[in-house]
Formats: sequence, C-alpha cells, structure tokens
Amino acid sequence: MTIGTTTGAESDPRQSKPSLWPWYAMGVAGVVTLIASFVVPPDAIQEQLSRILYVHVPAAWLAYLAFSITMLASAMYLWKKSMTWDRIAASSAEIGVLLTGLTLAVGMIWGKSTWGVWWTWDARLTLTAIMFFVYLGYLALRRSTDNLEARARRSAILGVLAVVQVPLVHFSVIWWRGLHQTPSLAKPASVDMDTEMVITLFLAVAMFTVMYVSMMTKRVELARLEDELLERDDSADLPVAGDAVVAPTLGGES
Amino acid sequence: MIFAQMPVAEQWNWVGLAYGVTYITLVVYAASVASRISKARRNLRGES
Repeated sequence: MTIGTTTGAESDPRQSKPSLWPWYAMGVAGVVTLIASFVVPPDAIQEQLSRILYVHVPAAWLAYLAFSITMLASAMYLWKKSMTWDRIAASSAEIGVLLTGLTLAVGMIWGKSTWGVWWTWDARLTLTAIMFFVYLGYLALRRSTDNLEARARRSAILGVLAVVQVPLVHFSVIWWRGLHQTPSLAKPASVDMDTEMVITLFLAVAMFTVMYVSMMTKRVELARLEDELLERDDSADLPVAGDAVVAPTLGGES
Repeated sequence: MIFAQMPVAEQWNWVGLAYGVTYITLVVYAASVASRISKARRNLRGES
C-alpha cells in the first residue's frame, strides 16, 4: 500500500515541528475581511443588511472550489493510487461541508431579515442543502471502514461523481425561477454592483481563499497523522477480539 | 419585519448575527483541527 509522501523527519512526530503560519494567515485574513466589510458603504436598498454579502458569497464560492479540489484529487487518486491525493480530497471535502453549512446558515439569516422567512423551497436553497447532505454522506462513507485502500477508492468514486452538483447549484438561479436573486457578477457586460462593493467582495473572496489554503494545510497534516496511527495500529501485535474464547472439545473428552 | 421597515439598529443585529455565526464556526473548526493534531502527535509518541 502506498501511504504517500510520509518519509523522513516529516513522518516522525518527535522530529517534525508544527507550522504555525496557517493559524496566523487565517487570523489576518479574518480581520481583513471584517474591516473591509464594515468600511464599505451600505447598499441603497438593503442598507446595512447588504454587508452579509461579504461572508455569504465567499463561503459559497469557496465551497465550490473545495468540492472541485475534492473531485480533482479523487481523480488523481484513482489514477496514481497515492494516499496523498486521498488526504487532499478528504480534507477539502470536510472544509467544503463546513463552508456549505456556513453558506446555508448565513443565507438563512439574510433570508429571514430580507424575505421574512428562514427557509423557502427555492431551487438554489434546496439544491445547496442536497449538496451539503451528499458531502456529509461522503464524510460518513470514509468512516465506514478502517481499510485505507478501500476507504480511499470508495470515497474517490463518490468525490468524482458528486461534483456534478456544483454547476447545478450555481446555475439553478438562471435555470429555474425562484426567490433567490440571480448572479450580479455573472454578466460582465452589465455588472449590477457598485465598484466599491465589487472590490470589497473580491477582497473577501481572496481572504476566504487564504483561509481555505491555511485550513487545508493543517487538515491534510491531520489526515497524514491519522493515517499513520491507523497503520501503526494495524501492524501492531494487538489482541484480537475473541482470542480468549476457546472452542469446546467434542466427543466427551475432558 | 423585513428590511424595508427595519430600523438601522435591528439591521446591525442581523449583520452581527451573520458575522458571529461565521467567525465562531471558523474559529471552533480551526481549534478542533489543532486539538486533533496535538492528540494524534501525542498518540504517535506513545503518550496517552
């Protein structure tokens, strides 16, 4: 079995030093997003509520990116059979689920304050919820076995197939009429947003990308350590359940 | 009450709730990853 690139000092937990830069990068990115979102002027119609845009949209876009990375890494695993790709796919899926959950939660807050309801069975909302649960299923599938190869193969197949939901979710507001607004930036000829708002939105997306890369760095490190633990436990001479049970002797011998 | 009639202070409450949910979730997730890394490292070193 190939366990990826865990050689030398990197695989020895006593020698490898934990890198702290991802935590600092996350903190800086979070603060920059917060400041930018509160400095930009409010929208003419939605007023202060429009500021929710700067966390809702980046979370959704980064969830798309995370699931696309899962698909690419899953395809690479099926091709190369390297566990490094499996860890990247799984880590990205977990962060994607987190970001989709955030998109839904923040979207519900925005919906309640603007539409007057927490939830409506609009195509965009419903498909996003389905995508959330399908990727939760992906994470559950990975917990169904301790066999690293079987786990990687099964989840890679799902990781490749499940990505079809990303364009479905994104274009749902164009393909079906619903309550959710259509894209403001998908029509380059006539962008419906003020320049300051567009710049702030792209800055927030860039900062969320920094957070995604930082989280991925640490999450992949965790996946590598967890795989090493599983491997060690598999190879260790541990007692097997049922070893203490002795088969009864047949034929009345004592 | 939807935003057309909503006082500015109430609008800020909703914005604060959205940002609070986002940032608390991200911080809790980051802390959980950090804690799981520490635990895995301890286990690999043979500490309980």
